[in-house]
Amino acid sequence: MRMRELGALVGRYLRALLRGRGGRIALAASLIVFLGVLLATRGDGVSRSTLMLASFLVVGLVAFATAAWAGGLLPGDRAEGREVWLASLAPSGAARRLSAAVAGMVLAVAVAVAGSAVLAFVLPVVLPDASVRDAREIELPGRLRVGRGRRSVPEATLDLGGPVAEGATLELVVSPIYFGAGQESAEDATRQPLLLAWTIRGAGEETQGTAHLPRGAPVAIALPAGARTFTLSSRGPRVDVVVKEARVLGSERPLLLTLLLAGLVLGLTAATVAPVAVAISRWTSAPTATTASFVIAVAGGLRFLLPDLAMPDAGRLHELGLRIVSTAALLSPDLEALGVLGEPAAGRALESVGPAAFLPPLVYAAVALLVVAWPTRAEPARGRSS
Amino acid sequence: MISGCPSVQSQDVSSSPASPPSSPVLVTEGLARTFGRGARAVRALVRLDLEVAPGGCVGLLGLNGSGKSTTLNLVLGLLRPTAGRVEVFGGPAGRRTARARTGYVPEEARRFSSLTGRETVALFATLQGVKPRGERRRRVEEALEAVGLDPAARDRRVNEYSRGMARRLALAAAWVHRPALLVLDEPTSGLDPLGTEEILALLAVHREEGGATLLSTHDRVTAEGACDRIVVLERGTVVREGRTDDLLEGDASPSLAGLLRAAPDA
Repeated sequence: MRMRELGALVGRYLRALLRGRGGRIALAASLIVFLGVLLATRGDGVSRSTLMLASFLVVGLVAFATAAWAGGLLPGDRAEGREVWLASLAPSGAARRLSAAVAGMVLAVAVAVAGSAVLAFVLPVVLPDASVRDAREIELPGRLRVGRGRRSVPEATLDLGGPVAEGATLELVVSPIYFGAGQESAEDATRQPLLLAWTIRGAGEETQGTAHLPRGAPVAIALPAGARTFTLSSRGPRVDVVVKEARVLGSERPLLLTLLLAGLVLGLTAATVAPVAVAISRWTSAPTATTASFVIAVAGGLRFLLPDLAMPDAGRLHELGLRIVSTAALLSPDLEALGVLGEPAAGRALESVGPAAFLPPLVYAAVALLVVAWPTRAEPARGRSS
Repeated sequence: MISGCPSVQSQDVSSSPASPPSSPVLVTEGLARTFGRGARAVRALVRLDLEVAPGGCVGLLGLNGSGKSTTLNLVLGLLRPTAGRVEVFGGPAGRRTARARTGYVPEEARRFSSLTGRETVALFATLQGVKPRGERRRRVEEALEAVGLDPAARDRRVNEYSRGMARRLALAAAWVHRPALLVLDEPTSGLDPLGTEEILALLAVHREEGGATLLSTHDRVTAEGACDRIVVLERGTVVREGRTDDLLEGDASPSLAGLLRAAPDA
């Protein structure tokens, strides 16, 4: 296989994807959906996180659909008779199939990155607080439970990792644990506001204060410049507080950079679907390959719902449906890398993404590419699908 | 057009012909192909012995279903023979080296609808190993000129092409890397007389440069104009072989006789 030939074939398939009527329809449809999302989520009641995640969802769906669309390339050649003509040329069948997969992967990444770049310009217009800040995680000593319970410590001190800069904020993700009460008093307790007391040291005089903990959302506490430690305790009579995450939010970072990085992660994950689509298209028609690969990708995204879908004695139809979804989930790519999209949605900048995040999808894509390149025992130069 | 076509420098092309002049480019011996098995088996080609030397042209003439396209597919390595053997450039058909030195024009004008005419020929040049880029660009222009494709149409998408333009483009794509063997399936189908003349002139240039040609056609005039030897196939069997004039003598089935005596396209 020669790189120049592969490049020429990839270029040809990219043109087919971009210049085809389907490409224009998909672009128009995704723009309409995106505008719809913006209009539907506009208003004071909508959080940055909701709007940003909804926007990522639209960009992601387009990127995944683009990757799945690569499943139509080889069947298109077959149906329109170009397959035999291409098979008479020097490149092997494996090169032709691989180039279709690579074209789908390249386009999926390009779509996700371009879509994220558009978001970086559109979001600040519709959302005034669409900014991201530098975030530094604070290491927590195992399970940190603060309060008056038997397994708790009365107070805990967090090391902020050196004096913080002006304008820094401490973000805490906490959850309450109620104890030592009967059913009725527990219900009373859960109605009480959760109160956290804190002391900040290191910035000249000690600063003390209290904060109400919003339920289901992180609490943000402004830090004075130079602060070094943060000591917290729970004020509730029969409630402890478990600190799950703590981080210092620093200066503002360019939104474009963070969104481009998020787009890259989204695109690379979506790209893993392209070789699957091409592999399926070796034995199926274009609509089957495209739909099947898209369903596999969606099943990967919904994998975490599978345990909830399991219902004993729910009937054969339910069982059959669950089995189909479970099989699709088994075949689906690992989408855990997409967890980083929550960072910009929460207002935190992405500086870099570790290679470990990409490892599972890369392994998945490599296996799928092997299936794509695997020769068949059919006709010599032509191969079954090339 | 052909008269304006610059001289060919096939040594610049990585896939340029390199066979000794004496050795045949294409040899088939007892070549046969059957589709299906048992009672449903269809014998598309019964037995074909063929030899095409450098600079030579063999035309396969026959009606639909006579085995012409099957023969071409066997020569290209797109089908395996059921019996017999086919050797291209001294080795089995379908090898990469053989494919790189062969130019093929399929029967139907297959279109790469997302590409322009120029992009299509450039794609074929790249895939068939024409390099470097400057040489590739020159070859593309030469090939488009040689087949007489309207310059205004060269940068238009090929889905806007007429059938005749698509045939010219297919031939340009097959010839751009100066193949040592041209395999043509109905090369003049859909062309007007002027177009046919231009294609025949291109084939003459190809032969003068030492290229071999195997073509299949319904059209006696094309076969006569392009080839020095004609093989007439009927139901997969060779029924006549030789020069066109010789073929007109002797008995032939009524349908075949009609084909052999067909008047040139007006």
